[in-house]
Order: sequence, then structure tokens, then C-alpha cells
Amino acid sequence: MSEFVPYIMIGGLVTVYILTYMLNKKTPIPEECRDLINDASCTSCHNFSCSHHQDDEE
Amino acid sequence: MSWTVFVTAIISAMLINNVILMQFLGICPFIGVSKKTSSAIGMSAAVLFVMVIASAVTYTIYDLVLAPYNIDYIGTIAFILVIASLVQLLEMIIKKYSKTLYKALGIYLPLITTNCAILGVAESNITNIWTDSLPYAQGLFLAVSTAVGTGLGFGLILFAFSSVRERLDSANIPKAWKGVPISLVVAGIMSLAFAGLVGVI
Repeated sequence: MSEFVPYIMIGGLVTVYILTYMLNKKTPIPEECRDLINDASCTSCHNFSCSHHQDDEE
Repeated sequence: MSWTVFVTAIISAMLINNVILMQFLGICPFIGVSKKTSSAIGMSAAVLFVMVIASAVTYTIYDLVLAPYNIDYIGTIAFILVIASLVQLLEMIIKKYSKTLYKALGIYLPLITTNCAILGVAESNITNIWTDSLPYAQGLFLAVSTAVGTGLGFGLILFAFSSVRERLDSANIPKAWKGVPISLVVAGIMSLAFAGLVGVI
């Protein structure tokens, strides 16, 4: 039985992640915070699809 | 579990083993979110918040599940999943119940999912603090103290660095050095300055 523990552990954590992701996605952003998204002006990575990404040229 | 242990752990993690300048973790937000002081403060607060909770949760999972079942080899992947889930959960709770907190931290929370400083602290808590014989409560207290110190150290450096970068924007520097190159030189000088604190404790 103990050999299944790692699989159960990883499976459980992946399920928890998917659940929290879905719940977070469904929770609406407060109206007054919508315009704050651009304030992060993050250039940490080159993921242009990320809502936080801002071009260096801007 | 005493006040001295707490203060020593905080000073050590904050100044002597600084997560950015000494361990070179969390470099992405260090370079990416340090253009404005306001962004740096928001990011630092969000990192501190998540780091403390993630450290407590990961230490607990390691002590109560991974170590007893001898499956510590899945530690890293389990910690990544815990941190990612925790960030989603925190963002959702903050979004729903505290608009003020969401205004301050919310936009930085998704960026923390990929912050290696959080994973670094979770891993170093296990490597440096956890032992078979250490009681759970004592280990948890040390892990949380280290996380508080590391988060504060991250914030201190990010704030100082953002202040320097704001001044660098208006400075007359060669075009080739503008932006990230001069920032890395500044980071190097800051790292040398902090190396002088080694041996204080």
C-alpha cells in the first residue's frame, strides 16, 4: 500500500491545484481593481500573453 | 522557541544570507519589478505574505507526510504544487473578501507563482532546519522565522534597488549601459556591500 503514497500525494496536489485554479478563474476581479493590472509593469519574463507584461519600449 | 531565536533567524536570513544578493534567488522580480518604488513595495509585501504561509505549509507537509512515508524525493515537485495552489487560493480569497488588500497585493500574486525565492526558502527550510529529532513545533517556528527574515530581506533589497533605478533613469549614462546592464552593475556593488555583513552573527 505504501508504494502508492507518492502517486496519491502528487495526484492529490495536482487536483488541489486544478481546483484552486478553476475557482480563482471564476472569481471576478473587483470593479475598482481592473485598471490596476497595468501598474505591475512587470518585465521579468518575455511571456507576452501575460496580462502583467509590459513592453520595455512603452 | 524564544525571542532570541526569532530575532537571530530574521537577521541572519535578512542581512547575512540575503536571498537575492547572497543566494541569487528571485532575480526575475528583482530586475523585472524594480522600475518603480510603488511596484517594488507591492511585490515585496506579496512575497513576504506568500513566503511565510508557503514555508509553514511545506514544512508541515514534509514533516507529517513526506518524511514519515520516506517519499522525500518528491519534495520539490510537491512544494511547487503547494506554492502554485497556495497562490491561487490566496488570490481568490483576497479577491473575494478584501478589495483593499487586492488593490495592494493582488496584481503581484500571480507573478509569485514562478518566484524561485519562495521555492528556495521552502527547500532550504528542509535542508537546514528539518531533522528527524527536532520537534515539529520548534522546526515550524524556525522555518516561519526564516521565511519572515527572507521576505523582509527580499523587500529591503527590492526597495533599495528600485530607489537606485529611479535615480538611474534620470542619470546621464552611456546608451549601451542603460536599463538592465547598469542595474546588474548596481546589484553587484550591493552584493559586495552585503558580503561585508558575513560574520556579524
